[in-house]
Amino acid sequence: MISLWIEWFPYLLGGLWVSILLVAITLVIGLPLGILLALGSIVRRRWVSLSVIALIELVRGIPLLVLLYLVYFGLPNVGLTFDNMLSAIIAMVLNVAAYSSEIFRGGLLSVPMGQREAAASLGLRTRDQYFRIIIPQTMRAIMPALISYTILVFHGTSLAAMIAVSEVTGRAMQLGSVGYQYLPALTLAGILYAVVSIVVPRLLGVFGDGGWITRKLRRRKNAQRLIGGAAG
Amino acid sequence: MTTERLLEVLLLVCSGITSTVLMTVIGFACGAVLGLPIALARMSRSLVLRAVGTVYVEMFRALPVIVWLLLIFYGLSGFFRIAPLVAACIGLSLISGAHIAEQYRSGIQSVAQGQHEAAQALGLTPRSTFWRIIAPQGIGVAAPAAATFAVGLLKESAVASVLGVSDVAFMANLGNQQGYPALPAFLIAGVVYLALSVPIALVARFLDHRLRTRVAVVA
Repeated sequence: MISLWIEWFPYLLGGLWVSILLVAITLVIGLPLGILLALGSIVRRRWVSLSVIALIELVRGIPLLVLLYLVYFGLPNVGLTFDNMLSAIIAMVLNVAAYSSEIFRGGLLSVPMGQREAAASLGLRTRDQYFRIIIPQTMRAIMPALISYTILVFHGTSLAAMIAVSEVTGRAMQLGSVGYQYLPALTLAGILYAVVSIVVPRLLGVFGDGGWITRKLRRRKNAQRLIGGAAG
Repeated sequence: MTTERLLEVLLLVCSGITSTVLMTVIGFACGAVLGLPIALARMSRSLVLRAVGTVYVEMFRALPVIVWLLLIFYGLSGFFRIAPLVAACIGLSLISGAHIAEQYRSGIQSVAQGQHEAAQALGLTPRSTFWRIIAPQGIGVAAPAAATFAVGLLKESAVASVLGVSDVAFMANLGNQQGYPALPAFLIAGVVYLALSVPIALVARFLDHRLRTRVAVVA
């Protein structure tokens, strides 16, 4: 099995890059859309917020696999034909926008009203109130949730194999189909998924609020304050 | 496209509901039972049990559902013939066991310290403190999250169609292959999943509401 694994490893690693690329593109497009949907779902105009919430719930209610099929097999019926990678990106962006909007909404609602009032009393425009005061605090609050969500998105890319995107799972199935070697091929793919899913959040946690780097910076700042206080 | 054809697709897709519901119910029920010993192992004082629990949870959460289902299907079919539906139920049960275990654990750990102290003051043994005081409250706290997880499980079960389980997603795909227009077939499948998730979501909301009102009364 080991010799097979050594032979397969570079090919599966290539598939891992496809998966990671898919995650990156999806998040870069999907997360800003998620923020917009979250803002749309809490605006005071009832008909706007209700229709945004209906849209979010509709997309969230459809399994990602069905959404992938819908875009790849279904949209050509109305003259919209995309290749498999683009179909995967479209389906996953819709999925990520809808799911992340719930995370963002929770974060936005966690910022106390006083912050908004203080910003308003300082004369900030509505846009600045959002982009300089509320959204930065939201991001800090939701960072842990967003990191674990990133792993779910990464796992979601495995479904793109079903519309013939050549990522890790697709490549493992392809390797396995030669001489019914599914078990060793999928095991190696599983190890790759496990390594990324277990290592990456911990690496990202280092950068997050309360993570290793922030703690270091804070300690240094405190130390400087103490030194400054002694000198003064 | 005629209405008749549309009706045919609708019936075809709906014929997958039984498998989808079956997988969701079995996966959730087995996961809820399996989750308790795993949660206990993760909170155990014994290092070995803690390690076993942690490895189980991390292992089943670190791989995509589709990879687990394929691994279990191809792994078990090396020993005996196994129906895709059985493999899917086993896989979904093991995976939901890991997720529900984490919800039990955070629920149990959220029970206030005063409850432990009060039970001790009343002279309860550690065993009955846990089973009569702490666990019932902790599992009550975990219930809304577990119900929300059930909605997710319903949608994850669509992945079993890849193994050949004739569920809603599989039937929509079959319709597509049989020459029915794909867009209505998959749209109907999406709406069926949405409709199935509504009752579970309502239960989740009810449990959450009950929990909140109870907490409010205590405080």
